[in-house]
Amino acid sequence: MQRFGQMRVSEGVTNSMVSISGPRRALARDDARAAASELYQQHWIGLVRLAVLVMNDRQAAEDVVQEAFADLYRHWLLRESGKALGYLRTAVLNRSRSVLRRRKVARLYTQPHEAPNASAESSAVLGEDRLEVRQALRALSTRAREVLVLRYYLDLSFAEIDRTLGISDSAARSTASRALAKLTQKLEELR
Amino acid sequence: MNDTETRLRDYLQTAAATVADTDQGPGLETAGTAHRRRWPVVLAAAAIAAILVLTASFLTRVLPDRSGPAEGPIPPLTDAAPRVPYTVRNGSSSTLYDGTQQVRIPAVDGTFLFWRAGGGWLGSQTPERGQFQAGILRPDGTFRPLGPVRSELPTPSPDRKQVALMHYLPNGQGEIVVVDLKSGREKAHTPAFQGWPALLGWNRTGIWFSTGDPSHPQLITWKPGSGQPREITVPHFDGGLSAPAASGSISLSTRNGDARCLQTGTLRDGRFEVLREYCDRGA
Repeated sequence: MQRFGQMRVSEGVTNSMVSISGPRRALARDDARAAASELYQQHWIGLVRLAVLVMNDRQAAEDVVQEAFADLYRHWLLRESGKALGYLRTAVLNRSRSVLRRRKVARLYTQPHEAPNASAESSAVLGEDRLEVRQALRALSTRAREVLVLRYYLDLSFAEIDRTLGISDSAARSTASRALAKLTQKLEELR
Repeated sequence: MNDTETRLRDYLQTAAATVADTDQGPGLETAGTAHRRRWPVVLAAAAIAAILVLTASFLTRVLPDRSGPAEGPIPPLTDAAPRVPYTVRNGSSSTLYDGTQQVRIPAVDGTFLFWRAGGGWLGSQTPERGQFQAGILRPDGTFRPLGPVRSELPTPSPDRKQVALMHYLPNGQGEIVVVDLKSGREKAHTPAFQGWPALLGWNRTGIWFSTGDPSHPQLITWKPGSGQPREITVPHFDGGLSAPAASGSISLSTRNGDARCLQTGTLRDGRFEVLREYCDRGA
């Protein structure tokens, strides 16, 4: 356990600040961080909602969004700031997928995890009809859930879904179609 | 728009609204962002500690003929390193510690190590996005792949000569594959009854896995080379199972509302016979 104490954030904020030198780069860095902070103000809630819909876990959703913004804050990689929201959505979905996969592995070695924010309170808000939808969505793969969320919550076109998930147009369409069919079947089974 | 689409939109809007318009994030202050990178390590450490405590306390109840560890003198606390293998993640790299050995884990996203086996450590990696590969981390830091691509959760046989793997098939289905540890050759495989299987353990009775809806998993056991897998009915089985290699018995967990139970039992005439049970309610 001692070793955890020695862990340094080698890619963290402190080191990256030291590695940047010169007033021009410092200015660019400050501009980038200001832009990241502005994006944070504008899109934090929307991205947390996106991650909540994919992971069904508020705390994990906030962590995922925080890490996506933190990466952008430390390493502004975007040439066009207009693409920042798309980049962040992709980053949040990738990290959400990673969390779900790790959780799936961990669940086999620990007792099943019931997300604290997905329990009694949110169940009362959702009501029985919507709880059926939530249960049916759980039976889908993560990729299928992502496509449905992007299509039916964010109302993205299939072309935008392609760019966000890095899949082809036909793959996005067929995934949405199959996911909807399976969702219908699951909902009928739950009646 | 059909009924499913309407219900889906309604659910998504309502679920999203659980994050209120007035909610705010913690901000992008440097201290906060640096600190948050540790949460996976802390979470993993907490999970390991929790399961060790639960297992230890449960085993003391399962074995009533022995004096429990709690009855003896309590050993002093120590800050020495754990005696079991463990990994530490530092930024984008990880290191495995096992006694005096330290092995730098190849820099790929997601490496899970579970067992000492085959002269190294059995685990799985994600060499690229969407791909999983089971294998052995050698002491020199190289990773020897085992079994097909898109396989993970390697589970050694009781004699540690073979490994069972969970293999994802492209059609949304899965199978269990058994591979010889030394040669790497496939020895047997069986399809899962439904969807992707979750490998749970391998003991003298056979390989244990579950399939189906994760909220209502179906328990299955299969002895490679001796017939088809068998579905085992366990009321309210929630997917948690431990199968000690040297034993024919298993311990599993059930959940019925707030009532949670740990059961230990064996197969008798194809049915799970509970030998001991410990329950709590909503703790």
